Amino acid sequence: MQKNEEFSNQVVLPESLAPIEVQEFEALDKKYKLINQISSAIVLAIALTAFFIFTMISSGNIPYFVLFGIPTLFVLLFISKLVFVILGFPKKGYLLREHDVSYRSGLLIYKLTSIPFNRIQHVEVSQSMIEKSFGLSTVKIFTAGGSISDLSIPGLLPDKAKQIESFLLSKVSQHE
Amino acid sequence: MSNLDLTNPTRQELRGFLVILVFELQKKARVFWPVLILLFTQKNLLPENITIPIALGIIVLFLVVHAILYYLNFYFYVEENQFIIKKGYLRKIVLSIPLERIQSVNTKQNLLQQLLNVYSLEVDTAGSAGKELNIYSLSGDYTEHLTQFLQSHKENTIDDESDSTFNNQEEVEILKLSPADLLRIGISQNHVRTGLIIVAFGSQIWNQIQDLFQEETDAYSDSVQHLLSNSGILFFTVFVILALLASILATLVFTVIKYYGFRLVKHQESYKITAGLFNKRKVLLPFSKVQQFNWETGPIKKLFGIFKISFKQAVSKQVQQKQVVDAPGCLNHHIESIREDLFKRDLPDANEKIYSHRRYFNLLWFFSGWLPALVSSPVYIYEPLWLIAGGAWLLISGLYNWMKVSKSYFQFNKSQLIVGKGAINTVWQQTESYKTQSVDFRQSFFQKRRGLASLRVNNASGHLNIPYIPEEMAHQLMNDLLYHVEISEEKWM
Repeated sequence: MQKNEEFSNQVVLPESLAPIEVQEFEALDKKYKLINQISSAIVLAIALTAFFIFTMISSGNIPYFVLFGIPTLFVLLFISKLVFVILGFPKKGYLLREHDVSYRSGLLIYKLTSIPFNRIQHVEVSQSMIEKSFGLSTVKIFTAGGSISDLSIPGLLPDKAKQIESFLLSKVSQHE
Repeated sequence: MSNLDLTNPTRQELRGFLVILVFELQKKARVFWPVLILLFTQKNLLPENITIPIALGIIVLFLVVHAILYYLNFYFYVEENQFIIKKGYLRKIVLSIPLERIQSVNTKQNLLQQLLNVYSLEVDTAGSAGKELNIYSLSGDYTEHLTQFLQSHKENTIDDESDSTFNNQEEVEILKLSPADLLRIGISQNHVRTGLIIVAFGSQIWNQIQDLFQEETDAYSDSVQHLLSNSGILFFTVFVILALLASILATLVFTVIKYYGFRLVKHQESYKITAGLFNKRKVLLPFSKVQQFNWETGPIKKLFGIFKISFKQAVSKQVQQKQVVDAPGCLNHHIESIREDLFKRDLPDANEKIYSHRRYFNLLWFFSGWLPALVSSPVYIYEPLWLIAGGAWLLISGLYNWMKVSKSYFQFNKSQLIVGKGAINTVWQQTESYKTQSVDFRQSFFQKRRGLASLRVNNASGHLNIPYIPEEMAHQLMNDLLYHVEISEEKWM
């Protein structure tokens, strides 16, 4: 692969090397891990409550293996989700270079998405309810390629998110 | 033609008033149909001395008045760098579209419009409410002129709008489909699929008919019923054959109606496509707007040497799928000349074809073969005969996926990418590197062990999948693509 002399694509935020796969990615904020754990706990709580309400309503004659099996299944799912969240967290990260932005994730299936700045349509900072209460933001980056080619970087401190947004916007306007 | 002044606010063509009326009627009906149904079913809702005909009369009168006002207040013109539509009488609406934002300008003609000799014009802007920008009744001259202007203006936005751009340069005909061609194309379509749908649908009706007859025949004689139930297999075979014939006929008719008089001409840096029997459409397609070009052939098509081609444009979020312009059939040399036009630079055909790794087969076979076969294993215990069906399924899906893997490859020459795919059909997709919007690199746990990875290249019209290629190659391809996008100064749209 020959490289053009005039072209450079150095990392901008953390200072480092060139081809994308060997770069140091910026990690997400630790609170993001906590948020994910809490939200899966909430899902577990809702599922369990729903199941108990169901058992109350449907009068009696539910076999014991259902009565105990299903909650156990829920708890097992919850635990495996927790394991995924904890082990998957260090795999998540983003990278800003001179010409593109990338996000990677995935414990079992590693995924890396890159969007060049000159293809960004618009940038958005968003906060869900739970994110808001923990003081985290998500930066969403939209392209013309429809939802599958969009990219969002979760688990950012609001200041950082704003900083990234304005950095991206300045890059986008350069290309217009 | 030159005496038309586009900067003058113009109304729609008067002789097409009926068209406007009909379109407005449709629009209003779509909004008010619940009210209308209510009105006709609950007659007592109406005041006493108003009967249904009178009510209808009033509605029609309102509509006509509405359409007249609509017509009188509808203007369009070009001002500086904007195409402007003014409309509305109670609520005035001014739509102004910057000329360089216009995606494409399409002309259409339905049956009524053909009779009245007017055209509707559809101005497409990327990601806008498309329907807002329709003009329903325009004369042929004006349409031609306006399309020409909008298109040419968009291409050289910096150029002053000089009359020279209107000079009709010669049009080169690339492809024309005669009725005989259409027949051949209709026959070579995929009938098995349509046939199966008809069989599935028809067998239900058949069962119902049988039930119906059962009741009747009980009353008459047993012999009819006997005949019906015993000759079931015979009926079924006859039915399948009939269904296939029907599907061939249906696709034939459909193809002829949709593609009647198909013509693809090259004019300057764009294609013009005209087609349709009842609904004539005319599409202007600048080369620069084509995000991806696909061509495809199947077993029957191959016999005739026919390919199906489609030009994929940017998809605006509201009008999905509409942006694909396709031709049902053409020959190899047509594809070659189209690719010459679209992708002027050197084509990557000479470069090495890099096929997906055989491990891709394992993944496909597992999910479409083994998984369904294993999930249905309880059935085998109850009825061992189903094991044969399960085995057959494994075999068929194995064969299918084997074909799929052996057709999956890519070719890349830095500036252009060709991806081949398909199982029974063979599909080729070609795109230019700089049209890429984003790139996804994926690697599962199993792929990592084997040093393989998959890539997905997204563009504004969809995506290209490159599954199971060596890891370093995937990285290199990703970096190359990103590099080409990042250094490109060309507009991707």
